[in-house]
Amino acid sequence: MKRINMFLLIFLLLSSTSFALTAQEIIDRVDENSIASNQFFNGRMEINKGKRTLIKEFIGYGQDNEESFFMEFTNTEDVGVKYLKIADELWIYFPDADDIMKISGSMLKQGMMGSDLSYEDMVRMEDLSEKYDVELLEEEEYEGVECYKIQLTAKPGVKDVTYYREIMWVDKDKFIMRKVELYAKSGRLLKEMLVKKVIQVGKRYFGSKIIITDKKKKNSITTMEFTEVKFDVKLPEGIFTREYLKR
Amino acid sequence: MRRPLLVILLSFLFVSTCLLTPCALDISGVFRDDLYLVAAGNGFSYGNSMENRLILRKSANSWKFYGDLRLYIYSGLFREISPDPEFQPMRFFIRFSSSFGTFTLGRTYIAVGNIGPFNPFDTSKELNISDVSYDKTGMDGVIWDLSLGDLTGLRMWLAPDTIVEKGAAGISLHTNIGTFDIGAVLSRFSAEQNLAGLYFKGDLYFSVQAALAQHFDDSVTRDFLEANLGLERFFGTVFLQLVYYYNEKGADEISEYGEVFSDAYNKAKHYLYANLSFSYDEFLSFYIYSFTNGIDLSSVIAPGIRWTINNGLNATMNLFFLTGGNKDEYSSAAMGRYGIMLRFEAKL
Repeated sequence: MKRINMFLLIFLLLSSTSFALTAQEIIDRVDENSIASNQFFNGRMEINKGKRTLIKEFIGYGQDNEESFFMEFTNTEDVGVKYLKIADELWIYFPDADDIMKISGSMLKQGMMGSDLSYEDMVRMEDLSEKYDVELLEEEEYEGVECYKIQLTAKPGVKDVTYYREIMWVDKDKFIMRKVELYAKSGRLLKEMLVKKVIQVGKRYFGSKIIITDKKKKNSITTMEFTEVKFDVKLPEGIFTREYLKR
Repeated sequence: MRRPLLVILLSFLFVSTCLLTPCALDISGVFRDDLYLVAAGNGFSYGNSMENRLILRKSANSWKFYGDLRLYIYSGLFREISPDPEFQPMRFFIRFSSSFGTFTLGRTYIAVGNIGPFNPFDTSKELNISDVSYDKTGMDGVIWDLSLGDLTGLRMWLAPDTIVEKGAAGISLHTNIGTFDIGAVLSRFSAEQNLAGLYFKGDLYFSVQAALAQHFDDSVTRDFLEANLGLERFFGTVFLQLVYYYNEKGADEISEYGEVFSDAYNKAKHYLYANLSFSYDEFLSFYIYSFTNGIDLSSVIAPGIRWTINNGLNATMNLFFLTGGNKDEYSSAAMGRYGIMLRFEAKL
């Protein structure tokens, strides 16, 4: 399994022991430990711009490593707003209008609900093996945790990648990403994700508190915290369909 | 007598389901105050519109209730038009899902086609030039949504009238191919008003959307053609949207302007909607939009600022400039040379 998206990055969980692993084997271990037939999550997003703060709360379901997901906002200001993602496409339901809108391609780069997490990050499904050259840079300690520092660089000729280069710090013990840096082709750092809290759900480790910083913005930080996470749950029937958005 | 009967039926269903199911009724609200100052004649006119929304929700596994009740209180120049407070049940419906599809009973906006201005398939051809995205009034009726796949479905709706022959109904099929959402629609609003057509929305370099609708009567005598073509794209944090609208029965000349049509937008044959907006950050955005009449070339141009003050509290300042002469549609003589709207909105 070499496919990854931002929700997967956010769902980065893992376990196991460390040997002399190659970069590809480390990525595979990250993926292996993250694979679940489906997930349920209940979370909270805090968007900070300087001293100002917006709070968003949501519940959601994911399937096939976020190939499909459904998300519903539950905070007072946005209650009933729902998202459906299938493959690379995204639809949004507005409860006031009782109507569904397809998110257009260029809108995918905008922050979801004003956050530092873009719609594109949500729909991102890139085959890492196909699109990226993977390299183990070094072993490095990050915030007191021994990590593998892995670099992914888009292969020559591959254009349809969201980020040209990514650097990941993977926990050597739990095989969960602790930090991710996302770069443009110019070398400019675009986003940074820091996993601040790791919880164990069954046999899996899960990054339950993630701080996302959009480096293109000043003083803009989004903290995503998952208060409840379940794997291999029974999904509501038809949840990944357009009709379900109106329910 | 259709409306009282429907309200009684819905109330009965609502009360009985509330009593029979353990889940709680969720209550929220929105307070919105729009203050207008309009330069008309030799001075300024003042108007204020206060909208109080009460939103009720209750949902269980296979059904949900949604109510959006609005109370409007006017003062200033709006009070001359509506002296008394107005109560508007904007949405009030029960939605039930089963293996036979999803059924919606009550008052809701029956959405068909692409969301946005100048949608030929809109069941309500209201166009609020001071708030393009303002919610449209719902219709009383029944909707049956049948899923034929993850992204494919059939929507059938019926809005009965006291006299059956006057009732409205429609059917639409929607699906997704590649990056495009596409659909076909057949709607009937009265013996004289039927329409059939196609629409799509998808991604090329721009996001492209278009709709084409042919109007006809019950005897299938051709009436008029209605169409739109829209482009939109983000350039970084700048968003550009253009929508051209064509209404075959609209006026070709100013002298032909009559009443505003109920089955088409505005008076003229051609219109252009343009919207340019810029998001400074999560809390502050700037925009300018315009409606231009393609026959008399009059426009309403509206720049504005939207500010999120805090969680659930927003402020908007919107300016309006009308460029038209006396006989033009967007006439500064008739509607005021310019105006300002200040809006405060609190989600409760």
